[in-house]
Amino acid sequence: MTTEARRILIVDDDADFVAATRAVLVGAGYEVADCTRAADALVRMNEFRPDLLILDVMMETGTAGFHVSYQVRRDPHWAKTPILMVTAIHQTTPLRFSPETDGEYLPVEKLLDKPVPADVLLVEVAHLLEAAD
Amino acid sequence: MKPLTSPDHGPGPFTPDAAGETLGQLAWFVRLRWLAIAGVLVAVPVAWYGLGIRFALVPVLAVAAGLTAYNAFFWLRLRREPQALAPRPDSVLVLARWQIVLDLAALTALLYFAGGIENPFSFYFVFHTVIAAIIFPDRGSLVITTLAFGLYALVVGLDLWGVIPHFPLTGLYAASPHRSAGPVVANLFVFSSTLYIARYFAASIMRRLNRRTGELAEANQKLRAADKRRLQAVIMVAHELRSPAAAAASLLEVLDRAAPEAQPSLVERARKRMDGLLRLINDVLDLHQLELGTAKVETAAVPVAAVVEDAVAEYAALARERDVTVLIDLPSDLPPAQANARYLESAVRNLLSNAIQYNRPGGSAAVSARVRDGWIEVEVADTGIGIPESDLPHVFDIFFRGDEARKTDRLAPGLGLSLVKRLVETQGGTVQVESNAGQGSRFSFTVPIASGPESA
Repeated sequence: MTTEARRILIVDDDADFVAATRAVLVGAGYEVADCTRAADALVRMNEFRPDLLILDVMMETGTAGFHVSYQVRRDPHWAKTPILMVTAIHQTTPLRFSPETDGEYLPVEKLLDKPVPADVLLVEVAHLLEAAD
Repeated sequence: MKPLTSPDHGPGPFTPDAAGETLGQLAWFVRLRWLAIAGVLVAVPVAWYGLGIRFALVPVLAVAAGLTAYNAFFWLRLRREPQALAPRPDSVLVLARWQIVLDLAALTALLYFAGGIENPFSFYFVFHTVIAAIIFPDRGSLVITTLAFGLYALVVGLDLWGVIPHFPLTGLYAASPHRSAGPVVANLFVFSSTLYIARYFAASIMRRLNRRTGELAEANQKLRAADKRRLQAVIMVAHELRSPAAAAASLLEVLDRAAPEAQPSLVERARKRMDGLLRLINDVLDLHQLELGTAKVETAAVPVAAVVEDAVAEYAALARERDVTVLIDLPSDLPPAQANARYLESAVRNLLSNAIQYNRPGGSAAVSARVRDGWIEVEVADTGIGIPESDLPHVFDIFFRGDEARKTDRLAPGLGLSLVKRLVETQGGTVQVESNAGQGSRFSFTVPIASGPESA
C-alpha cells in the first residue's frame, strides 16, 4: 500500500447505497467521491481520477452501468482501472452474467449482488486495488 | 367427446395444435367401425341360425370383409404414421369426410344384400348423420345426410321399380313391401325426416358446444395472461420492497464502521427508507384488501385542501429533483369531503407522484379541486410523457404498465393507478383520465361532499 489514500468513485443513483458504501470505505481509510448519474460518470472520473470504480447497473436505464463500463474501457486513461460492479439485477431479471463467463462483453473485474456486506466490500476493494498495482 | 373443428366454420383458427385432437377423432372412427364389424359378425349368425332368416350371405360377408380391410388399413396407418395419414389438420377433415362416405356405402351395400327396405338396420343411417353433424356441424353434415338418404332412396327406389335384382330377407316379414309404392314412400318419408331432424339436433348442439368451447378457450387464455402479469408483478413488488429494505439494511450495517458524526445521517436515511417501505406495504395491502372487499371503510369530513397541500409538501423534494413545478389551485370555499382520510391522501399522493415522476424537466404538475354536480372533483394534470390511446383503457388495471412508463421508471410495480381507482370507488366516487401521448395526462376523481350542519 502506498501512503497516500487510494481513491474510489461510487457511481450509483441510490443516494442511500452511496452513503452506506461511502461510510464503509471512508472508515477504512479510502478517499471517496460519488456520482448519481451514469451520464456524468466519465466527467466525474476525469475530475476525481479514482484508482477504482464501484458501479451500479440500473440507473437512468436498466443497463446504464454496462454502458459506463464500456465507456470507461474505451478511454485510454481508464482502460486499466478496476471496476467493481454492484447490482440487484440478478434478482430482478432473468438475465445472468458474470465477468468470468461474459468477460468479453462485460468489461468489469468483479460483480457483486446488492446489498454487499461491509466485510466483503472491503476485501474485494483491497483485492482489486492490489491486483491493479 | 371433443368435436373436430371444420376449417371454414369452426370457432377459431384451425391450428396445428388441433391436429392431435383430430387424429384422435380418426382413431375414434376406427374403434366405432370395429364395433360395427363386430355387430355384423354377431348379427349374421344370430339371424341366420337363431332366427332362421335368410339373405345373400356371401355378398353380406364380402361387404363385412371389405369394411374390415379398409378399417385395418386406417388402424395400421394411424398406429404407424399418423402424420402421413394426415399431413395437415384440414386433411384430417377431408379424410374423415371420405371415411363417412365409405361407411355409408358399406351400410347401403349391407342393406341391399339383406332385403333393402325390409331390413330394420336401415335405422343405423342415423348414426352416420349424427357423427357427421358432430364433426361438420354446418354444410358438411347436410351433404352427408343427403348422401345417406340418397343412397338409401336409390336402393329402395330401384328395388321398387325392379331395376335391380331384389335380395330378399326371408323369414322376417310375411310379405315384402319392396314392390308396393305406399309403404316405400311412407318409409322414405319417415327415414329422411328422421335423418334430417337428428342431424339438425346434433349439429345445433355441436355449434353451441363449439361456440362455448371457443369462449372458454378465450377466457382461459385471458386468465393465463392475467395470471402471468400478476406473477411478474409479484416479482416487481418484491423488488420494490427489497430496494428500500436493502438500502436501510446497508445503512444500518455500516453504522459501527462510520465516523460518529456521520452516524445520525445514516440512521435518518435508514428511517426514511423504512418509511417508504412501510408506505409501499400499506399500498399493496390496501389494494389487495380493496380488491377482495375485506377492507372496512370509515369516512369522515376531510379537508381536501389540507390533504392536497400535505401531498405537495411531501413530493416537493422529488419535484425539485425532477425539475417539475407543482401548481396548486384550490378555491378557498371548497367544502370538506366525506371520505376516508388515508384513502383520500393515498389517492392524491399517487396521482401527484405519477405526475412528477412521468414528467419532463421543466414541466409542471397542477393539482386542483372544485365542486361539480354535487361532488368534489380533484384533478391532477401534468405536462409529462402522456399515455398512448391504446393504453388508456388499461391504465387502471392492476399491475398494468405502459411501455413509456416502463422506460421512465423501470421498476415501479404498476400499483398506483389501480390503487387510486379502488380507493376512489370504495368511497363512492369515479376516476377519469384524459391523455395525449407526449403532451401530458389529466387524471381526476370525485369524492362526496361532507354533509355539513346546514344540509343535514
